Order: sequence, then C-alpha cells, then structure tokens
Amino acid sequence: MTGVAQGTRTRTDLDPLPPPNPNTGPGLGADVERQRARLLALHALLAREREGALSPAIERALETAQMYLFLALGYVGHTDELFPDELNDPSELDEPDEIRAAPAASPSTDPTEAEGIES
Amino acid sequence: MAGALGQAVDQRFWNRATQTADRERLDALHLARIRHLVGWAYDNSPLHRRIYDAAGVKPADIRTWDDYHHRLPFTDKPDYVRDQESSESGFGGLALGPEHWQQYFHTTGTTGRFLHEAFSQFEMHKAGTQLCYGLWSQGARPRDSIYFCFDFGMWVGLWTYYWGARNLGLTIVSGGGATGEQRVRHILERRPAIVYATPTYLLHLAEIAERAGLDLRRVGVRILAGGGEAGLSVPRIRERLAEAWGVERIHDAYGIGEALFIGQSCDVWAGGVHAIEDVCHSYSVDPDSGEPVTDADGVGEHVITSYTHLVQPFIKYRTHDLVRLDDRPDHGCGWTWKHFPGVVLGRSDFMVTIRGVNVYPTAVENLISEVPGLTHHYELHLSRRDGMDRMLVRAEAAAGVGALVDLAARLSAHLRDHLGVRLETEVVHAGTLPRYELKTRRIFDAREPGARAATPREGR
Repeated sequence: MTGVAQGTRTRTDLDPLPPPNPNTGPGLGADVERQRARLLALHALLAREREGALSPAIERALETAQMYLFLALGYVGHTDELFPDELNDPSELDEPDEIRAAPAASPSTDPTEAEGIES
Repeated sequence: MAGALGQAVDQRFWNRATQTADRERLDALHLARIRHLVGWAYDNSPLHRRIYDAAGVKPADIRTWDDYHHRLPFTDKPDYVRDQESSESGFGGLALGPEHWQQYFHTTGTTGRFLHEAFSQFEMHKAGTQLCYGLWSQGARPRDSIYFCFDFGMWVGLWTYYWGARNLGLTIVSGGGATGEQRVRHILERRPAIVYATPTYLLHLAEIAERAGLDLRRVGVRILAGGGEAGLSVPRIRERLAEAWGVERIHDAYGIGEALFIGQSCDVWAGGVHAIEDVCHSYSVDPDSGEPVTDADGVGEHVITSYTHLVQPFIKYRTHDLVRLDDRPDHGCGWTWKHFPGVVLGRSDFMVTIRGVNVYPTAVENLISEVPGLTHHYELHLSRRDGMDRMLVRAEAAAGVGALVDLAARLSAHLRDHLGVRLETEVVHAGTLPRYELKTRRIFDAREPGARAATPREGR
C-alpha cells in the first residue's frame, strides 16, 4: 500500500523477530508447496503492477486482488506473513524467471501514460 | 466453478490440503503463525506490549509449545475493555489505526459494556472464508441461494455470514426489515437452498407457517444454518427443525466475536463442530490453574489465538466457554481438525439468549442499579413464546417515586443501549417484591427444561 506505513516492523527500536526459515515450508506436500510458490510469484507481479497503476481505480482493483490472493496463500499454509500488506514490497519477493522477464505492465502507445509505470 | 476445479481435486473439502493434514503438520503451522503474531502484536499493540513486558516475555522467547503454554500470558476481555475505556480511540488492543479499518462492530455486552471491534478490509474477506468450510461440507455450492432472516446491525456474526456467502459464491436473498410472516412468504417465493437464522427463530418461522397453513417442507430448502445459540447442537431441537423444515442438513457454527465463527459442523454429524484451524488455534485449559487439558474427555476453558483479527490481535485469549476438545477426531468425515463434542458445554456464569443475543443476568443486574429511581430489588422472568426466549425485567421503584411507566421505559432504553437487545420491563411500587430471609430468588425460569438446558452457550 503505497504511502502507508505497514508491516510488522514499524518500530525500529526493537530486537528483530526470528527470521522465517526458508527451508521449512508448510510441509503439506509438494503440490501444495508448488502452488504456494506460484501464488507468491503472482503476488509479486500484482504488487509491481499496483505500483505502476495508472489510476486509483486500477490501484484499488489490484489491492483487492491481492487480498483475495492472500486468502489462497493462507489455504496453502503460508505463515511468513499474516496479511497482504506485509508482502507489499516487490523487491523483497521472489519471482520465477518467466514472470520476472514479463513486462510490468502492458505497453502503452501513449508516452505520457507510461511515465507512471515502473519497470 | 466446479468445472474449473478439474477432476483431480477432491471436492468433499473446501481446502483439503490443511483440512486433512496430520496433527503434527498442523501444529507446526500453528506455532509458526503464533510466533509471527506475537511479534506483530508486541510491535504494534500497546496493550499486548504492556502485558508481555509485565510478564517479562519478549516475542523471541516464544519458540515452543511449552513457551506458548507456560511463558506467554493469557489475555482476557477485561484487558481489552479497560484499554478501550482508557484510550482516546475508544478501542482496546489496537495494532492498526483507523486508516486501516473498513468496518466497526461491537460485542453484545456480556458484562454490561460493549467491546468495540474494528476490522480491516482483508479481515472481512478472511472472516468470510471461515464459514465456507462447513457450508461446503454440507453440500452448499456456488449459485445455491441463501436466505438471511435478520437485519444487519453492529453484531459481527451476521456480517461474517454475509461475507461467507459472498466468498462461497452463493446467491444472497436478504430478509432484512421483514416480519416473520413476510419472511415465510419470501422463503416460499424464493425457494432458497439454505436458510440462515438462530435455531429459535427457525422454529418460530415454522410455527408461523403452520398457523398460516403453509408447508415449509415443500419449499426445497436443503440446509438450515445458523449459530449464536446452542439449539443446532441439541439433538431434540435438530430433530424438530429437520421435521418442520423437511431438511436433511443442519449446519451448526460456533463463534466468538473476537475470532468470529471458528467452529463448523461437518457433513458427518458427530454431535459437535470442528475448529477451523486455518484461521485460529484452539486449546483448552483448567480454568483455575491455566494448565492445558490433555485428556480428550476432559472439560476445560477454551483458549484461542485468531489469525483473522489483526487490527485487534487476540492471542491466547480466554473465551470462558467450557469445551471438550478432541484433537484427533475420527468420525468418518476426513477432517483432521480438532472437534468440540457438544460444542460449548457451559459458561463460567449463567447466560440467557434473547433473539440471538446472549444476555447475562449479572449484566442486567449491574445495569438496573444505574437507572435513577430504581432500587436493587428486581426479578428476571424467563419464558418462551412461539419458540423464542423472552426476559421480563421487573424492578422496584424507590419509595415515593411515581410515573412507573416512564421509569420502565427508561430502564428498557438503558438495557437496550448496553446489551444490544430490547427486554420487556415493568416497574412496580416500592415494597411490592418479596423479601427473603436467605438467598434472594431473582431469576424465575418458566421455560421447558429442554430449552433451559440449551441456554448455556456462548457464540455471542
């Protein structure tokens, strides 16, 4: 959520939380873990697209999409974050190569519209 | 939706991956979420930070179940009420401010005061998911229709059912603002697959239909769903509902306002509900010692940690509901989630449910004394009419006080403001009510014994 303080580490005067162990997935099976990885990648893509939203309408629609997507992450046992805004920094998210290579937004023929899009 | 799922997906379960996971995996997930949540609360909720600091506990200290059970302090409703009364916001235990809130609710005022609750938009979405597990198990599917027999107000439970219906993809038919007679007509006209109400109201509608010569059994309702009262877990009431409505499926939901509907019955009725372990952790403790109850047949106080409510975290929160908790149920439904046989078995204090709102006699007693012109002599008369519980509050005026009708109206308004439900009131002249040499008899329960047994149930 651009411009709004979010996340669990809003205080800087506290000891850090124990980091999540990247080697311990939810342990619900390989299929579930693969779906979790794909959902995280989708979340990263949505977050990036949201940063480049061309209107409040699009930004809000993408924010809502992230909320629904986060429900799916909960279903597959994702525990690293509690709610979608804890995942709001695209730079912290892993993306599979095929998603990283994709453009962040659909190309526009209007150069003035493209100014707000971050690549 | 069903077509998009493909043949390989087991459609018995709303979320098979976790609903059928083994206990060890589920507990590992719980511990990871709890540890994260404790850190979140410590960082963002001044109330939790005070409680944890007072106990000498930091989030990093909570690494094992033993830490959770024995080092992390309990929280309780009075903690939140005190915090809300001393905070400028008027809310207790906040971890996220108003800029994150989507909707405001309050509890039913079990101690005579409401606990104010605020939910973010994501929390409302997630709250909606909590009901899908049970409804799906009962056979509800997208494009089935559901009829709601209530007006929406400040009580969160009704709204979460609405969000659950949206989340599952049901067609919603609202009975808001309608009379009982009108609702019967709506149901006959719209022929919903699911009707949602409290069990006493479902019986009330059946009685209305019978008096009008209308047969609800021919409407085609497949599922009766509800909560807020114990009736849907009481075999005799389930039988009466099934007969009156001609349904085979009766879905029970158990909830508390602080964590929403966290218990759902499955398609194999085993006399209780499953904890919805995707959204909360449940365990039970000895109410006096706080030690976990490990015996599957043992009754203890239900303690929850919610993964849904983050604006106001509820961690290791005492519900005061007495439950029996089977953490390895095996009654054939396939769910591995903990099971509450008998749902809520009692409360630490007596409670009556009036039109779906839990009313504690102690709360009424406290409120009577706040009305100028009344004495501390009063009686609470419980009765049942048309299948619905009623409470008449008969209070005695102080000596020399007249205008008893006006005084009764003020008492009624005061109770309504603080309890969230209108009770019948009557004020009598000074000296009218009997005095007792020993313990004063204040509660007169004229309901049938079966109805009385059904009342000690939380679910707000």
